Amino acid sequence: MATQHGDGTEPDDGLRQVLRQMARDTDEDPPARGLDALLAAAAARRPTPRPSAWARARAYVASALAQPAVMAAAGLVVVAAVGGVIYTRGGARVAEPTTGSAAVGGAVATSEEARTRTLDEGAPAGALAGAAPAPVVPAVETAVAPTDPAPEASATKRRAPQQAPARPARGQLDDAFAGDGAGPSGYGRSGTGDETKLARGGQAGAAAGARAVTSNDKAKLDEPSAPPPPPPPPPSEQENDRAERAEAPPTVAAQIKAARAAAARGDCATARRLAAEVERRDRAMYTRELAKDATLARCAP
Amino acid sequence: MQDQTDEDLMTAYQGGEVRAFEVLLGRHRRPVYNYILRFIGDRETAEDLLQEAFLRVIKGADAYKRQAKFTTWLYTIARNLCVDQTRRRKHRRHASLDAPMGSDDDAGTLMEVLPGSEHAPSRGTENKALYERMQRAIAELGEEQREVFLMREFLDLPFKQIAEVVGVPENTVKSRMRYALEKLRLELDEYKDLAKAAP
Repeated sequence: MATQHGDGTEPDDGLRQVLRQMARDTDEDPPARGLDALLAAAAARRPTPRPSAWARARAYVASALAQPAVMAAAGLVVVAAVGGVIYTRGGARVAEPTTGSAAVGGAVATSEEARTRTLDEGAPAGALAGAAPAPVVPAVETAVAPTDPAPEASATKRRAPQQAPARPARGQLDDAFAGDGAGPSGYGRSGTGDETKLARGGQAGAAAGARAVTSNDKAKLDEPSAPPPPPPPPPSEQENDRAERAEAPPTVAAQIKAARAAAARGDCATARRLAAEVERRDRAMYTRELAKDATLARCAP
Repeated sequence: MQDQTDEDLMTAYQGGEVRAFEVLLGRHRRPVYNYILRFIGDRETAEDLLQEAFLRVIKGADAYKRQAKFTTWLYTIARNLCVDQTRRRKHRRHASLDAPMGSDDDAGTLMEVLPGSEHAPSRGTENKALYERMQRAIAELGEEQREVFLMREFLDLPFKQIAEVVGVPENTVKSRMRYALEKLRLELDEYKDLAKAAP
């Protein structure tokens, strides 16, 4: 008797032989009756064209966006992308319209009286015009607003809130003041109120200022479509402090006083900073005045 | 084209090459027909089911994925048709080896229409008796054991592929095969004992 193979899933030799023989002897050919019908059906079938990659991608995106969660995620991505672009380029620059020639024309058409008054009040209109082209409009607007009802000036005024005036350097201011006063630029003459400033500028400054006004401003006026440079952000309190210090370094005594005042009003950060400044500049004074100061002690970390 | 694999041919047919389908038909028509015939035991039904199986291949050609083995797909179709047919028949009446197979009373019994009983004129009387006994034993197997046995022994499909066709784990397929072989081995032993005892 033949033995069963392996795990019992294979027939033994005798049974296998019988089954093989049986398969050979009993296999039949299928009747050819339905063969033609099958071939006809096969030939009649039209292969459906495979959709293009673009169509498949579009269908995929459409089906994906049909789901609210995916739609919400896509919306977030779009918002984040737009926010990123605005952040990268600077919000003011994205939203700011280009400076039109009419606005600049309005700036040019400002009256001598307005300019003089501005200068008397301390607003460096001509200086700004000479120093950098962008601040021309706000400076002029400041000067024109109370008196000049011209449409150009109004247009300038409407645009003014979007353009914060830049802080020109002192040297530029002086030069520009001088140039504005002495130069033949035709943008107006300064009045008598700023004569001292003009005097500070001197001849060279006047010439430079005149050049600055004539070359820079005229070039900018000739190119009205050129986008103005982005205005700097409004200075923070710390920046103001820093700017003040840069202009005239305060004395140690003034810093001690300021530190005490800051501690008194609870601004411990400023108080500590000023105290550290005093300590750095004059340690003896610090030890004498501030080290054991009761007001400042409240701000001790 | 004759040397191409089934999967290549099916892909070519998907692309509109009817000749590829003809090659596939020539390759698989006979084994599928015999599988169905041994499963169902009725030539007329087997012929109808063979036709239906290939028609489904034509209709489903677009859905065919090249990753799948063509024979697995084809025999899954054939097997499902057989199972459906068997269930329909069970609803009508209980199948019996000696009961008429067709709708008419004059149709042959399962034993009479099983392949080999009249299409192997060269075999001897002894073989004929043995085959008839084996065919009876196969027909008496349960449906699950029978389909596994037929695919394994007459179509030479590996167990893994049979498991895919039937839709059960491979171990279940092996278990069914073990039961089927045990029954057939007993049948063969009994036949041999009788043959020895005969004068």
